[in-house]
Amino acid sequence: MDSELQKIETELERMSPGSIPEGMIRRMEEAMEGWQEIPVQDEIEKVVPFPQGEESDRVETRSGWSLWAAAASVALLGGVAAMVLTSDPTSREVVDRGGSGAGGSTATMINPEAVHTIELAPKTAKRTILDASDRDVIIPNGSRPMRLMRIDLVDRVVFLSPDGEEVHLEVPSVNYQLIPVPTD
Amino acid sequence: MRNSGTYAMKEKTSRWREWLSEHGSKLLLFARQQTRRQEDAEDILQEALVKLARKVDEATFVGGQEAWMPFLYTQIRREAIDLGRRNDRRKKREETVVEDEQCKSGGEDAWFESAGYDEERRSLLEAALKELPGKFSDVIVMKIWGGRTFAQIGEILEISMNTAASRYRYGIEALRKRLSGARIRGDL
Repeated sequence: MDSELQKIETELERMSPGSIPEGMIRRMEEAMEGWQEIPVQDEIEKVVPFPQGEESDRVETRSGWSLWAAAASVALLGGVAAMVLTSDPTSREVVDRGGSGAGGSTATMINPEAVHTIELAPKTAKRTILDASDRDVIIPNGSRPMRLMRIDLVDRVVFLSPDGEEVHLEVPSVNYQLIPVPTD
Repeated sequence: MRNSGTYAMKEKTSRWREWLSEHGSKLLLFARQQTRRQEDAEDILQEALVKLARKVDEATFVGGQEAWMPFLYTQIRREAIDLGRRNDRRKKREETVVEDEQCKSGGEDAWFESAGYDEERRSLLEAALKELPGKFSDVIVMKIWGGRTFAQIGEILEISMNTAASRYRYGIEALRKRLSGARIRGDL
């Protein structure tokens, strides 16, 4: 720091903060002695903290929901996979509908008798949050303001067939969550 | 028993009083710098002191007496932020303008004592300090009159030590410029 700045610094140091009047010291002292008399409620009302209880509830709910959702996803995906994946290539047959030749229409049908399920054991299941964005603050029915969050997710499940082949499935999804907004 | 209780109360009272007499003015200056009005400064200082007393008496305060000042600086700042938020919600623009004018004019609202110092110069320095952006005057007030190190200031303001040191330098430089401007204008 150059000499001119040091000079300013020295000048500032020479300035004394205004002293506290005796009456104020007494008042502060009494307040410090009597802190027990100040209701804690006042303190809580003065600064409303982020609602911890609700937050923990919300987190718990979300984590519980997440667990069930992941399990449901696996079950659903397993069912879908079992319906679609068949081991017999003859299960599909072409059915001629109404005519032959070039003008005739064809449709692919699945022969129900030829379809049989195979068991795919889920190997891993993982839910990944791709993005979380703040959408808006809303006040539902005039109650506490809530922040609407959009959460983009993807569920990735790996199944293992009896032959040891891995089947990878990805299911993207979007969740919306309401988070209480801290207010005074 | 009663005598010992009375003695204990007297001992505690004298402890706060002595300590307040020594450090109260520094804390009030900081509180003053954080708020618009003297009354607000007194309120947030008192609330910070009460929190300290509660923690000390409940034996939940971490650190010894040397840690009281950093705690109080932090607490005063938080109280000021809370107060600012509350005031923002209900502030009336006209009142704010009037308050700002009062702040700029100094007068009854002096932060420093005038004794033993060139009054005109002191008044200009004080006005310049009040006009500084808060992030600079925060550091200057804590460094010069609070005797805090840059590391401690950094902790209180939740910034790095280097940032605290830079803000101090920029703040002093800004004060110098303002005083130079006053000299050119013929105020000095």
